[in-house]
Amino acid sequence: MGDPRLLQTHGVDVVATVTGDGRVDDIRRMHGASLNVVQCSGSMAHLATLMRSATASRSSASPTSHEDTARALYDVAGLFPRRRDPAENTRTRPRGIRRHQARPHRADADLRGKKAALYVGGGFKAISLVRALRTLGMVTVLAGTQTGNPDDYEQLREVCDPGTILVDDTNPLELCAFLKEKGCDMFIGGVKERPIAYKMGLDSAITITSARPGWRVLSHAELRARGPRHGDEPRWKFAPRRPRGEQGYEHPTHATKTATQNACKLCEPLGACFVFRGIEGAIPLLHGSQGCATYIRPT
Amino acid sequence: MIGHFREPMDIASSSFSETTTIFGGESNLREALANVVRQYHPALIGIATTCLSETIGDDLNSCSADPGRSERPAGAGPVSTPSFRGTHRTVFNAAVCAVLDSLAQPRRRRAPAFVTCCRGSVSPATSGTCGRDRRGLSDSLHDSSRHSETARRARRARLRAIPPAGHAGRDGQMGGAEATIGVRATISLRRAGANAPRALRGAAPFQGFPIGHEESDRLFQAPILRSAMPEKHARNAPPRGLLH
Repeated sequence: MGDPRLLQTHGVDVVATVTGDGRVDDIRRMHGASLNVVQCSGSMAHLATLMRSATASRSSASPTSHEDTARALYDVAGLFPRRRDPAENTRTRPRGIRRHQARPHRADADLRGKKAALYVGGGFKAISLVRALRTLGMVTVLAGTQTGNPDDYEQLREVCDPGTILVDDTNPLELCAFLKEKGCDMFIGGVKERPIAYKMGLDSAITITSARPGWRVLSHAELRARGPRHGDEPRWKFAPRRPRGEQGYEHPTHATKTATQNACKLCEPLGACFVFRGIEGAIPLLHGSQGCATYIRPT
Repeated sequence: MIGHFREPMDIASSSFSETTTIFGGESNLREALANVVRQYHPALIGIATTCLSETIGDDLNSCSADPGRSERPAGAGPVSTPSFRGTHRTVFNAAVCAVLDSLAQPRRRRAPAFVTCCRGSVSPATSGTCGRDRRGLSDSLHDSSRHSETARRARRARLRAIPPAGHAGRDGQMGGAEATIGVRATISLRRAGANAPRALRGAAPFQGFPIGHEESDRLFQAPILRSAMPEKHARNAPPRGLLH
């Protein structure tokens, strides 16, 4: 969708793109557009709202998968009823979509019915991921964002199944509790949430930032590659997801290792945390940003 | 900071945002303290600053003086730890002092005599080895912070937010220490505040590290330890170099 040629193929004239490769002369013509298509909600929704009075309508799309791209194209087609009937559009499926349509994959059987949880930065990413997971037959049992607004959550609620837990600006402890409660098989999150998933033994934690630079797509191929099959690897038997026995499996599995790693991360808050760590029942509290408390814990 | 897989290392933060940079972070800290108490039920909250809060100049001591704090767990600090200054080693002793300030109580009557050992920043492996050659002195030599224990015992199949190890209630007795030694203390322990143990303010620095017989002997032969050493240990302690 980021490529204007996709719209042009379907007969929609693209006046301007406000992206990194936008052109000044094109942007000067923006006021003549009858439709704004918002792709990245975080940065562009505000601009589209400002332009709303001057334009006919606005559509939002976060084309991280072929469903999203198709949905966005249908939405755009539906907003130009005189030029093209959406029903006709449905019958004549665009060639580009067909090319990218999900094909059966041997990993699909492993993924089907598995429970996924996701906690990401913005609302549209969450919405897209819920749709992408559904295409693979997976169930989203928990979805949340850090910066989502009420509109985002309303949309998220619509795409999610009934009973899905929606969380806003949550914290690791709360996420842990929900992940345990729901018995998730896969967790999709950012770099701050990845250690939680690994420590809990969620064998298929996906970090969005590592999927591809600049958050473009978390493709089905990647979901498949990192799916529950990934959890069959022998290393996970050393870190069982749940304690053996009912009351918890307290036997330390590697009791003698005491080592400081990642010594390159040296700063004063780290030193203070070391001291507080030596006191039973103590927890350090850094008066600063979340990043301060995240990156001194090497991942 | 995490030494191995699945080591619990939760560090709370007051979650600064853009507006915090402008309006200050005191309300953030109050909210963070309330959240941490509600969710973790900690015995102690160690507060440390970061470069941004230091640049803003938040008055954290006023937050600590909140009248509602009496029902809360003890809070250590705030320790001034701007990241643009020093390293994790330079601030170690300041944080130890903050813990002692917060936890040390006056000595109780008939309390056994002991010596507080305030270690400088050493690796958990080294500090874990420290004291193996104490020859029975472990009852009378108290470490101020035991992050080696925390690291060693932390690995469990079931994840716990706060690892069940570390220095327990003895910190409360540190106020009654006969003497305090600063082992590898790179900064003077005299920075400790008024609540710190009286003996701490006259802490004797010990530049070695009591690992192995020779260094252990050297520590236990130090005058300050000799005066504080319980009689039974003094009697059993071999002359220096005997076990070579």
